[in-house]
Amino acid sequence: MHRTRKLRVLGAVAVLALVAAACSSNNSNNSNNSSSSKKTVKLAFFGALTGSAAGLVVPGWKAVQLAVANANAGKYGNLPVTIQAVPEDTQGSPTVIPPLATKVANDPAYVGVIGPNFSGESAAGGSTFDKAGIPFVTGSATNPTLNASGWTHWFRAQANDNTQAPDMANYIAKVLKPNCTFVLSDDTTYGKGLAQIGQSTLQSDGVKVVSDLGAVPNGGTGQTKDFSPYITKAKQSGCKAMFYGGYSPEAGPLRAQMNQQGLTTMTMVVGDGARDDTFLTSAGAAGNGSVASCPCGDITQSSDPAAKTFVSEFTAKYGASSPIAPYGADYWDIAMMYINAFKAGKTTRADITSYFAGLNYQGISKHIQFQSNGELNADDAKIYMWKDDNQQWSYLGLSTDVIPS
Amino acid sequence: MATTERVATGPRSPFNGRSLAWVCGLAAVAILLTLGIRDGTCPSSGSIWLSYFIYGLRSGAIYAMVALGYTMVYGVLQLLNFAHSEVFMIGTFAAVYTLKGLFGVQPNHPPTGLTLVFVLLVTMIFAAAASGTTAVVMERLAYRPLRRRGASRLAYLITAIGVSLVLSNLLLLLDGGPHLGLPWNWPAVGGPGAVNYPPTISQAKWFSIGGVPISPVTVLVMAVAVVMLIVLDQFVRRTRTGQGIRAVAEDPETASLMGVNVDRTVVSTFLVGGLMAGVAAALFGITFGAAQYSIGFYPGLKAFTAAVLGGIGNVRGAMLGGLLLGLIEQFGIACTAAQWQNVIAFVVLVAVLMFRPTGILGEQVGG
Repeated sequence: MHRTRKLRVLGAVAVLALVAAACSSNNSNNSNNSSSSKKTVKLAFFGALTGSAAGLVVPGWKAVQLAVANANAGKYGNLPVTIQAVPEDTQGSPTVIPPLATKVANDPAYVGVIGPNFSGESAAGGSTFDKAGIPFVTGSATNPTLNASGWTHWFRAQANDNTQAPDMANYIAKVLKPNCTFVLSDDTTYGKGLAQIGQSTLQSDGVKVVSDLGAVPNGGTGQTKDFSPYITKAKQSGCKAMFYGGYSPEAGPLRAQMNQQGLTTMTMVVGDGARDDTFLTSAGAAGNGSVASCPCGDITQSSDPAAKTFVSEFTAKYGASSPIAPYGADYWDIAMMYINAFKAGKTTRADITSYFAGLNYQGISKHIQFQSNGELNADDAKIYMWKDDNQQWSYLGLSTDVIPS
Repeated sequence: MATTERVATGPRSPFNGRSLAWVCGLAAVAILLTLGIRDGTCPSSGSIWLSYFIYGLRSGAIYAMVALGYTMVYGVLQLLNFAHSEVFMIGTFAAVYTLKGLFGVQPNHPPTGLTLVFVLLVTMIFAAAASGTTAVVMERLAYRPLRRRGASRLAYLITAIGVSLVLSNLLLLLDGGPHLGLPWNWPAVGGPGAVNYPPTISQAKWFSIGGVPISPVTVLVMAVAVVMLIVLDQFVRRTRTGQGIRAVAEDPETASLMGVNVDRTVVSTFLVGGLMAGVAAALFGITFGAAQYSIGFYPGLKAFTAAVLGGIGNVRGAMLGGLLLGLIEQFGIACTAAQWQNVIAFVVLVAVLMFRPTGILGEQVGG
């Protein structure tokens, strides 16, 4: 009896010690750099910084960190504030984001949000940001229904799936010209939305469609490992092309298993959610010939001096093997949007929001100007096509150049 | 002595209620299937049906092996060990680290020939050992203190869920960073992303059956599963420990009076379930190429469902349930959209339980 009581007391003390250590470390993180005379403003970056989908998000985060470091070092002139970029790892999940969004929205030190990166989490956390009046700018969440929420602090510095999905479908209809197309998607806002729009475009192009929407569960998490039932259905369709709406943690293994099941003649066309290194490595040799659309172009081919500076600074800081695509250049532009706002003296949430609403900015990835609902101007929204060429993403060109009309 | 009155019945008719229900049910399925094939909803190609069948057997084999852990522990302790999915998950990590760490298999240089056989054998043994150890330690630390105190069933259940959360989140924390305010970096063996297996046994076509390509991996999974299931079945039926497990499952007090060491039997049960899950985990990882902290959740849930389907507590039931569930998952979507896969599987489960609440083969551990 004494021994168990001693053990219980020891256990309680150990737990208290751990809790104290955890709390104290949190406190030390919150201590401000009181030595600086400038106010510190915080920008929160929301996205899947870890987990299977991180390959889509980390390049953007790296670009943001680079921009902020440059700005704080005075490279873009004198700023009235010091910027602190704070990562918020949502793992891309709509269920993880709500408490993180609440925390950021309620903390007045945060004057802006960069992201969220994915559509599902944007839908889940957007109202929290909007109600708190904090501007949130995404460079990669492409589902078109996001603007229907009536948010007034949301900006999409990117093309959306109303442009991307038809381009994917038209590529299939006019370049691949298959006997029919098997349209498969996962169950996420992004994946299913992309496939629905793609399916109707294919049908209006006169392509026969066999569809299985929302079939792959837990899109973006990598939890589904066995794709054999979907592949057997694809085989059953006898189609020569597949339109896949979803993310790389599923698209890559799906492509690899398709070849294992003997489905080598079905070309896979994916959206920006699968255009990353994760797809290349998990699909392996089977991925050869797969086509991806992306609102992201090839920034290394840009002749814009600002783009070249960005590319050399990025590779200098992170190494030549660290991918910039898909969204490194796009999130660089968003970080620069905030930096320019600070330069113009806009350091409060409301000021920054109205600054963005009237913005007319030539970024390295695109020209940025917003419509009244937060969407990018139609003229600025462009889609690019890429091809998996022996486990490298090879740039095909602007969709309008690649796809015959 | 009470006398029972026999109600006079007519001559035994072959069309009694239950077999009539079966016949009607099968006829309905046959008619729907014919109509479906006729109008194109269902596949008309034999090779497509065969494809569903073969892949159903493949996943069924894995579910069967994992289901054994759930069913045996339930039989002996009436405990639904929700942490068994994490026993499986540990096995997937043990297998990948055996391949990468012990054997140093490189991504572009898979072993071949006898080396391959040796590597696979050792990987499965190590994965089995890791899962078995996890299960035994789990029993010792989490469940035995509850048994000593005569805890309620609810306490066991909550503890099982707790152990499951602790193990999966532990692997989530092992991502090479500092966590929980501790001043060191946790080892980078897990984390939120997948840990990829280097390719070993070939995934390419070896031969075809009826137009369905069969790879060496598929053959490996089926062969190992068959062997393991037969071995386990014989273990439970013929060995002393197996008999002890069946005795404790039936009546622990009488079993201990008959000289069976109940504690040791419980440990054996957890160990055997863990070993099976470990082999299944190695096969799963080799087939699908990854280990991840969350990888146990769906296979565990499905294996548990399979155990219930076949008769929770019944060893042969778990095997049958596993194979059946694998087949139902595939055939169930042959004529419908794939997003109905889980709906159909659970509807079948509910239907079976409505007519046979103890599962297809009933509750007896020994079958």
